[in-house]
Amino acid sequence: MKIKVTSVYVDDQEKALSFYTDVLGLTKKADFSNGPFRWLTVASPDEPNGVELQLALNNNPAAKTYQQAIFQQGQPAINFFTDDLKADYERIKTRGAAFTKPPTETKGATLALLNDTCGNLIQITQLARW
Amino acid sequence: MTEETRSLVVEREFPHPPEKLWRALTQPHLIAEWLMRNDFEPVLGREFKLHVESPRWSGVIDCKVLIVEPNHKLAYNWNSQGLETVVTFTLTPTKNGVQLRMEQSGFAPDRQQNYQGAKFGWQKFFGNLEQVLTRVD
Repeated sequence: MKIKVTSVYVDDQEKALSFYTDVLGLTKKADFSNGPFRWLTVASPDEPNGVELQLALNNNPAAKTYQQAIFQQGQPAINFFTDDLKADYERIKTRGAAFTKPPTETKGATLALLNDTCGNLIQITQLARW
Repeated sequence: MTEETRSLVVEREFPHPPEKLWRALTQPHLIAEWLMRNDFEPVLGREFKLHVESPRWSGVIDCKVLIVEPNHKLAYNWNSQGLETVVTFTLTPTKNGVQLRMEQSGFAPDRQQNYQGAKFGWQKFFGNLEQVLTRVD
């Protein structure tokens, strides 16, 4: 058994695809439509066959309530890991993303938070030691 | 009908004067060292945030100052993940220093996990506090 896909709710899949690829630098992996349903995933260019992140349309009012609540509480919907947060921060910021928390050192890690413009906070973490 | 809630109490004696402990409880740069990054001010009604920052979980705790009695008592709301509790610090001078009592009240019966988390957390915070007090003048 393997973990193949995880998902994040987004309020607009087209906007999300552009943000997660053009701004964050991930790569589009799967894109199938079935009527109004669109299965859309991205992957890391460093791990093209790694875990896929599904950009799922949030048209579920219950999920929306949850999404807005954790956003208000400052909780990220997803946490990416990197070996070079400073470089990623500069790159992503230059492409226009709004960071709600610039790289901040904490016990055992440095982390940053940004707004994905689709209803979520994203955390990027660099562990002090692997 | 009122719901029965639980309180968590953690107490420890510190071999330092109450004034020094009060500084650690009320100065943002010191609070950051033993508790969390914050924009605290010891002013009644002041709203501030504590920033949870970890590789596993990040978030914000919304707080509001309820009691400020210098060198004696400090209380604030502690609203985290939809759970509203109140944290009260009471300082009592002792022969060798000061006794600190922390009470966090308002854990609803269905919030057992938060209660256990807080229990674990405050033990850690008190340990950090002890180190901060030893380090600063």
